Amino acid sequence: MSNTQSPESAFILRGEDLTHRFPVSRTFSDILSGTRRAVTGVSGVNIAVKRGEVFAVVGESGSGKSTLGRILLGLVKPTLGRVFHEGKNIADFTASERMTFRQKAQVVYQDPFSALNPSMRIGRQIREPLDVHRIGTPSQRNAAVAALLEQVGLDPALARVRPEELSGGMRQRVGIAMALASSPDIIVADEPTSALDVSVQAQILNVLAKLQQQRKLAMVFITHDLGVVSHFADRVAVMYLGRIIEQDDVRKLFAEPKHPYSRMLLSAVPSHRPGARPVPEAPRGEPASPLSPPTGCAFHPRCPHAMERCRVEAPMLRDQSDGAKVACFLFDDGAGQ
Amino acid sequence: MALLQINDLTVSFETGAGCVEAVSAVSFHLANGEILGLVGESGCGKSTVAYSLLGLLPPHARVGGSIKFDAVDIAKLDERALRKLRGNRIAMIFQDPMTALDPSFRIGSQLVETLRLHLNLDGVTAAKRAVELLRSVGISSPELRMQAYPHELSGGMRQRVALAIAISCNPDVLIADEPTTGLDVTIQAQVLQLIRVLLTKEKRSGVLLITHDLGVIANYCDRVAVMYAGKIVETGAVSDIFGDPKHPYTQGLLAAIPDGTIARGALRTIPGRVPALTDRGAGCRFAPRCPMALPVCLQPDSPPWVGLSQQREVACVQYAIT
Repeated sequence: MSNTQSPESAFILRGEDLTHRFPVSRTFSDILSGTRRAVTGVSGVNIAVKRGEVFAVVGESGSGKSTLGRILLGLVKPTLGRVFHEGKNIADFTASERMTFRQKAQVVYQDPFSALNPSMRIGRQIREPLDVHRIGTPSQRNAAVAALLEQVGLDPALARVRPEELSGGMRQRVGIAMALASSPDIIVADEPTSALDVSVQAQILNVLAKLQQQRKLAMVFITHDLGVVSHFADRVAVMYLGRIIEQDDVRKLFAEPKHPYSRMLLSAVPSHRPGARPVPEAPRGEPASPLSPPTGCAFHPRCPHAMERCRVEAPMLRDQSDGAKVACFLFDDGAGQ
Repeated sequence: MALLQINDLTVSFETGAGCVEAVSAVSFHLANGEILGLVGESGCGKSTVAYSLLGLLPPHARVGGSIKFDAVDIAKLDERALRKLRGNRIAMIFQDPMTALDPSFRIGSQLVETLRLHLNLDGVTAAKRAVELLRSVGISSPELRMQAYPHELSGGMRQRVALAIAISCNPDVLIADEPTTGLDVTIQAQVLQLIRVLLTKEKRSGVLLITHDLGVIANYCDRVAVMYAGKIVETGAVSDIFGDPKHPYTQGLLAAIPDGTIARGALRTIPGRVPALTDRGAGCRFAPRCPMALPVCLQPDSPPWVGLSQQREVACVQYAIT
């Protein structure tokens, strides 16, 4: 599955040169010295999600993966770069196009409890997008809510209860039903199962998989859990300190990670398979603070292969001959090994 | 001889709705030089077990059974005797290192205070020892870090400091309750490796590692006890349990972990949900969700505790039939 030469129409959502800087609140000495500091949360990211595929974005905390998700949904305006939905720049949308985009691009959050209104019965919450976008007649909307609840594996009678009466797994099912109500073609799921126990996570992943396949949904799956990625995603981008450092088909990246950070990350995941033993050597160092990112390649202080060049120059994300993309000088010739 | 021997530990709480049992007749032991994993999903009682070992349960808790440590029953000790034990001989680290750290004091002074209090060291010796401890938990330029406040450190760094405090008095037992759950996976690997090296090499101590993460157990523990709804359902060496899980709950749990070997959407799930604390019927608590359940599983004396081999025990009726 090569993904290098796909025509524009193959992509449902595309981000181009996305960069986002946050202002940092100024300390007393900053004010005295007149400095303004900014954190670069996302830096020069290109991402293209195909129709019906699950595209995972993985990274550790502070890697910028959630900010990227919010930029793709139009919830955060990037400092630089553009987002295209169906080939159209979302910054140029008319009011009605923006309404359509809000229907077609939906989100599922990690914590369903904070995503739900505690005082509103769940049936009304699922119905709300239908009301807002005036989809169907009121009785059709109620029927749609019942159907959605069934599709996510909940008893339609639960439409009358409030979120507090539901378990975490059931709430996440409600969160999914809400996201699906307006028939989206892409969902950004930000750590959708990270707060759940493993047996509940399995149920939710199965529900998501069924709906994704039935509806041919595209998904941007943001997570730190590499097990979930290897199970659920078609393609994956690995982020480190705001940049994509490697991107590939999931099976290829897991079988043969190229970037030294991808390798470190994969080797640090404890496996439950029999015979698994701890990594012979624990990974080195800690992720650098986005407040004071290292010069050159942001990973160089932790990288076992760091060269002089890595300290001064940041490598570009380059296409490899096998279809992968890697941002590392070790792979700068594009030969893929 | 076991360092810690827990027999029939039962913990119940008086609540407005009556008395609920969070932990029911739990028995296990911890030996010197080993890491015992206690694994289970939220609400299974694993943290309550940890807290009862330190006498840290709230006053409305009722503790039954015995917790033998060094021929003393911890469950029967008064607060003064417990305080002598805690931190000194039995130390603990929690998921959130800020539970162990005071936000308004520099980490150096917190370490020094612990050392002076528990080991009766003078200020200069304690400061020297504190620097050594910080270095041993992998903190670079420890002399400088002594001056830092907890908020100036990353989450991984704070957990290292909490670990330094925990090991400062050379405890016999370390209880680690989800010590790496809030941390990134590369940092998790570092902290767990440290626990292994600092505590179990040279058989200095035993570690009780409480977690929901079966991968962590598989990679860092020697033995494991699997808990479900307040009871241990299976216990044994890690290689046995992960290679050949016997209890249907353990089997279901392991099959539910996503990885690249299972097709998308085809994860095995455990039907139903964990029974509420107030709604745990007679017999095997897993029976209502169990694919192998038999009528006998709901008998009050079910399930039997079956010894399969030395160190390998399972609470399931299917292994009792000979």
